[in-house]
Amino acid sequence: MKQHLCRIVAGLSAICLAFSTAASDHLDTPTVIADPAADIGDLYAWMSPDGQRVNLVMNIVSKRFSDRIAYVFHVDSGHRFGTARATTTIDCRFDAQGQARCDAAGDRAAGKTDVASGIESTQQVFRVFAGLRDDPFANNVRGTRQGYEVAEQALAADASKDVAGCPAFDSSVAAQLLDRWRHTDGGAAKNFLAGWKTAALVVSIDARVVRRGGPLLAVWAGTYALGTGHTSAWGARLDRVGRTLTGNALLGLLQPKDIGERRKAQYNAAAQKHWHEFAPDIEASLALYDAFDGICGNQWRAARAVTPARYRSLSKVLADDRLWIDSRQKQCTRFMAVERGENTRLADCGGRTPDGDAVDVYRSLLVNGTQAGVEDGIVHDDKVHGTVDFPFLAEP
Amino acid sequence: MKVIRTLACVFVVACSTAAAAASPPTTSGAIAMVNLEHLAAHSPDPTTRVESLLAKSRFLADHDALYTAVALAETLPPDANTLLLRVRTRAAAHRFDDALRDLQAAQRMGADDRHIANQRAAILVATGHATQALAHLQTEVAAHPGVASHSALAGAYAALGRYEEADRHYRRALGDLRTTSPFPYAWLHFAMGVMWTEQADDARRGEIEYRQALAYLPRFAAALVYAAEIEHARGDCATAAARLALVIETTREPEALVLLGEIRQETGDEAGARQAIATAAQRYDELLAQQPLAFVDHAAEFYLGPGANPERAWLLAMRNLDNRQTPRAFALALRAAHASGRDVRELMKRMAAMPE
Repeated sequence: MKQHLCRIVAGLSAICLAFSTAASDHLDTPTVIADPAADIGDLYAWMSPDGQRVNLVMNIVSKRFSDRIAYVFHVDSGHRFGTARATTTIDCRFDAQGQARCDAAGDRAAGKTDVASGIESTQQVFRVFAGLRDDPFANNVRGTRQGYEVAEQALAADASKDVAGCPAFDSSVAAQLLDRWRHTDGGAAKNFLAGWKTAALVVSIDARVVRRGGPLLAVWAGTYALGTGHTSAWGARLDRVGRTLTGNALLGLLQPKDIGERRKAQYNAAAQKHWHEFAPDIEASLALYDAFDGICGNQWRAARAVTPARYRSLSKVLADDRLWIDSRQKQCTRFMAVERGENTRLADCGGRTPDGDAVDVYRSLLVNGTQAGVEDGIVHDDKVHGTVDFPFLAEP
Repeated sequence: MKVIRTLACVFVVACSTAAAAASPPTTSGAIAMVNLEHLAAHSPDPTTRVESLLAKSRFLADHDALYTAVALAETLPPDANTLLLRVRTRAAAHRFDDALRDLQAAQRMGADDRHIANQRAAILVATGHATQALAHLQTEVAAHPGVASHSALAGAYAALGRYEEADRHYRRALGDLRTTSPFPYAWLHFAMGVMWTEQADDARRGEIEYRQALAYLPRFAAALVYAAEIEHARGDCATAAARLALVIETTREPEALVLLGEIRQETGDEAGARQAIATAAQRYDELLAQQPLAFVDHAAEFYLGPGANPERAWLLAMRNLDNRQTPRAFALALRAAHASGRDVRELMKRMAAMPE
């Protein structure tokens, strides 16, 4: 009667399969692919229009949150970009029935959180929503891959590199690469994540409790396997995200898949004091991105001199993968305004909002050092997301 | 045997020799299953979707998911990565010759040699040629010790009857798992359960593993059916029937229906038994129409037993044997030959000529 043996053997080889995409942080390592409830797709952080609240969104690739994982926002605060003096954590956990319990700054919210209004914590320090929402991330992943393929072919054809590691792509290669990036299979760009629904953890918290160390906030999110190891107060870290694309676009870019995945897994698990150790990996990837428009040296923060250290400054900024917000500002329209030193001059809180096109800005900064010029043909998601009305993300 | 079982079904109160499974440190099986179904239904990435569908078919005995995965993989542009994905879908559907052709094509397109060799080894084991795969799998464990290499080698040892070595490598694989996903834990325990119960004839050890698999994934259809078989054999028909009901709730898995039919028969529910067997027959017909090679062996077993059609069993068993010359496939063909009144000498000759 039982003939499953064959299928067992065939099936076992598939246990640790790896997937790869060029999405924000979705599906970045086999660990989180195995349990999508551990996989942080994106992190958003911005100020409310009245400047009183910090809004935070952590999107998880799955439909439901795990009962064995802690979902934690880390909000560091300080007076200067790059340094922080205090940290506030917002720690959310779920039981098998989906009831949430979130703790932050000595306050707690517990109960059923998947109603649009969410629930407010006992002392009204924060409000939390946790439930299924439309994923605001929009990206022409296929076009991006096809753009990368042009770069790979040019590299395989022995494009020479300068001492900083930037390959010399001629103008036709650069034009083809950027054109592929703007299209999907040569046609109109398609949003890879259109209609994709995500388990969204949304928190709106009183800004006063998170800026204890100063008005500049550095935000990152982590998922932790509860009760495993002692690498953190919560357990072994499974995934982490600060800005978009750090893991998927900058780590293991030029390495064989298994090595790249291992490096991304190390990056996800690394203690904060070791984050800087990933700067050399990022530096190598930055050299490649800088070539994508056929011009080496015009990347954001690239040194004028062509030396092996040309991309070091930016690699250090990006290796410290925290999304910065200036909590004194009420307008938030410029992705990474704090990192770019524009928060005061442009009175912009920076961070990242669900209705912005962060990936185009990010890639443009890496390729040509400006806000624009490297577009994937997708300006916004197919659904309308907001920054004012809680829980901000469109219904699924 | 039948009488003993009947008596047991009537008089024996549920009892278990297997220890209760410990609470696993993984995401609850119910949540994990919801998330898997979400990815299988909605993932925008076709690769993820195919993988999720394969997993769904594996854990929920959702044969429609297998059919969809196979069909979807066939539509993907054939680059090296998608060919490797198609190797897995075709192997899951027991289309081993097609899978091997894809492996060769993927190799020509520059797919990673190690990946190719691992996939080829898995197919060799699945098609009854574990000896040929053994050296590679042992080297792979030495060079890249981990979940995948240990579990692959364990599967080969199990196929060769080296059960203690297989068990050791399965446990090494379990020890190397670093995930909150319950699926690989459940799968490895299930594989050990099948090995001990079906190959090593040690139902006691097997049952412990099935229960452990079910502690991770309570809706794991194959583990439910196999655990139910052991319980049924022990006379604990109420527990067995309850497990089978869980399976039938979500999938019309024919093996579950057949076993349920047997239990109903033994407990005097003649009409219920007939209904379960008829539904199983209908389901086999559907599955054979969709994925013939994936189900010829199961269907042959069915027609040798409660399906009561030895002629059809013979045809199916021979089709299975043409697809893979494993000892089990020969044994099935021999039983079908006997049942249908055929001369078995040709078959015996063919079996004697097997390389292993």
